[in-house]
Amino acid sequence: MAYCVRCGVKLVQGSTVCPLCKTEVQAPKEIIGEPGVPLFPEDPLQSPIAHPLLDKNRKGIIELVVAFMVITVISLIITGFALGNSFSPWLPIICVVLGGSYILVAIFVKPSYTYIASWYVGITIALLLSIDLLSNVMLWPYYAIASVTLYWLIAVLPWWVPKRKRKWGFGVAALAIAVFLIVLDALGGNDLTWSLLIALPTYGVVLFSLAFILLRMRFGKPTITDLVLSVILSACWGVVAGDFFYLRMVASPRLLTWSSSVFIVGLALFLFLTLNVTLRRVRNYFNNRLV
Amino acid sequence: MEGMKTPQANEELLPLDNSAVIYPPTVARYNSHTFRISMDLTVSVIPTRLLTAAEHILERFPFFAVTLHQGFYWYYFMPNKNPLEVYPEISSPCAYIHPKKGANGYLFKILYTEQRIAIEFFHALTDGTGALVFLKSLVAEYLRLSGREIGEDPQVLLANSKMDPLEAEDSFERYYTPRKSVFGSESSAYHLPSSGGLTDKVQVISARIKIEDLKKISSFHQVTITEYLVAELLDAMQRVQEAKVKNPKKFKPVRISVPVNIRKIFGSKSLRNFTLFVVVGIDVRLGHYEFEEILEQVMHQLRSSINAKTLGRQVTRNVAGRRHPLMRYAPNVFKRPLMKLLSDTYGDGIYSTTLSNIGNVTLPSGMHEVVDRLDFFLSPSKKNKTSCAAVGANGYLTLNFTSILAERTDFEREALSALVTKGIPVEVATNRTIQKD
Repeated sequence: MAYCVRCGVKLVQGSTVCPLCKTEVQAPKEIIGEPGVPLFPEDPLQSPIAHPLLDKNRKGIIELVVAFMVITVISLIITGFALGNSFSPWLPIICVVLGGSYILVAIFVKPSYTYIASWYVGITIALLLSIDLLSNVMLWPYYAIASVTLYWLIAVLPWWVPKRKRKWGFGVAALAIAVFLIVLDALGGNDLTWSLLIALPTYGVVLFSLAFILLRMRFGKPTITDLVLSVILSACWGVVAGDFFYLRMVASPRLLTWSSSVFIVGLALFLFLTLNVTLRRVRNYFNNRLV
Repeated sequence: MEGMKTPQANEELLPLDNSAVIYPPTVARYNSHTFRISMDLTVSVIPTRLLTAAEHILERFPFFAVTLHQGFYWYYFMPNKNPLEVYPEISSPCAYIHPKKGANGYLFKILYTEQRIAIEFFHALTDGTGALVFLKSLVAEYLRLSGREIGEDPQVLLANSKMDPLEAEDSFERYYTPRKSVFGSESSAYHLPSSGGLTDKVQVISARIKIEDLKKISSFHQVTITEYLVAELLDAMQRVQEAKVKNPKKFKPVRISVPVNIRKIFGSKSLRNFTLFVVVGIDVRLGHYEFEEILEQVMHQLRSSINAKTLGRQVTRNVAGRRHPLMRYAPNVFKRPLMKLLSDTYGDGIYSTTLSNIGNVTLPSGMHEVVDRLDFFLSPSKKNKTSCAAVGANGYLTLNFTSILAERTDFEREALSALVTKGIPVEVATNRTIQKD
């Protein structure tokens, strides 16, 4: 029987590593001894079991999907030849292949949200580009591609990066929203108008307001009610800002129009939250509470 | 729920006791709410004979031969007519017992190895004392079937003896006195971080310590062994927090929940749950506590809490909470998340770990000679990632740390190496797969 030189504990017979600090036992074999009865028996399930790469059910689904895709593609090609120039089979073929890929991705790709979502985003963009290339030039695929990319940047990227870098992921997502607004405006043709004069300033106000919530979460101890009310308050400021910046764009003499009532609600909420925080701090101070 | 049953079914229905209602709704992947108690024997265990002994003894404990059902308002037990089974032991203790498929509908699982008999109980069924009585009775019956004479022991119930109805009662209801129900509000305690990842296979560090050594050091400090161990664990947790949390302003109190068997205090004979929890701790936000200061705190807090009046407050809280009309008539679907919130707020959230000490178990003649060692394990939870359970027998105390932390053993190391530093030899074993540093 050996002892751990770091922890000083006696190790059971046959132990070569301390279970507490993982220090290797430096002692002759006679002292370590032969391994005795383990604390618990070996779990037979723990030993590596060779799993077939594809089980019967998955194999069946793959065969079915591939067969369906092949038959449809062949039918479309034959139809294309039969009808001549009046029918182009390429777009339906791409739709069928990419549609089948959605199912196959779910079977083949590592079953994690980020992987599957990224593959789906990729296939969707490929589909939209194909539609744009093979049909008459239309603008809507670009709007759709921008939206799908924005989804990936907001809802997938922050979870893709390592946990310690997640705040950067959220930063990129916040920036992506601003870029998306500019892209939408640019796709509309002419110069950038509403994005620079209304959307981005409004977005800035909302971000600024949300940043306060993050600061409170980081340095204070807000309650759930505080957080919910703060989010409602941010939404109110966003609505008010939207109205305000629109009026500035059209050079209206009025400060606010339809959002005046929202402004009053926002103001009331702001006062309520400020009073709530202040009174709580005062109460805690006089109660000598540490937290 | 009850109203929808036939009158005959209603007679068979057994409500969960007052402290058990919290367990079924809060079972989760990392929180199986099971505990395990086992005896290592010097004789071999024959599974067929063990099964026969279990069937005999279960007739004496009909309140354990039940299955769990989910009703419209509450969970409830119904008699289980399925055949009993015994299972070979697996590599980690305190696994979740599925109410239907886990153990043929039973809420406990009898496990065996070549020389060990173990029972894992879902906590809704009973507490450590009830489980110990069941295990002692089972092993005694097994040894009797093996041709041994077993002496008398109040905790060994004979298979053919008559059941006392008081053994099956919900003692919380009996000892409830309507008075103001007090819900103490405690701030949240420090919890071990999940660094290194979690595992749903419970990891064990088992420490074996001579009771004589522990007695010597605890009597030197004029405290009991439990008080001494609680103080050691608090000190270890304090050191872990100081090492992990760099900013002292972010320190949180360190507290330990100590389950107390209240049968003696209230004079109950129940073999179902009748345990309450006393939470003792130190507020490290006020500064570092020396070991002697911790001992003093533990001694005062534990001794002032273990009396009928203070514990009666918790009994009132449990029973009054369950009897409240809003609670009583709320459908189970709403109760479940509420129970989870209550469990986190008034339970797991306010303490850092648990130490359950069954005490020194005495064994009757005939059994004493063949029982080599006793073990007791508590399942950890998502918040309290490491739990401790202790039991003493044959001059040794076994202190088992169960954890869902896949790699980290800082807390166990701090606690056990502190004992070694104070001159108490500790022997450790584990079921962890250890990679050399």
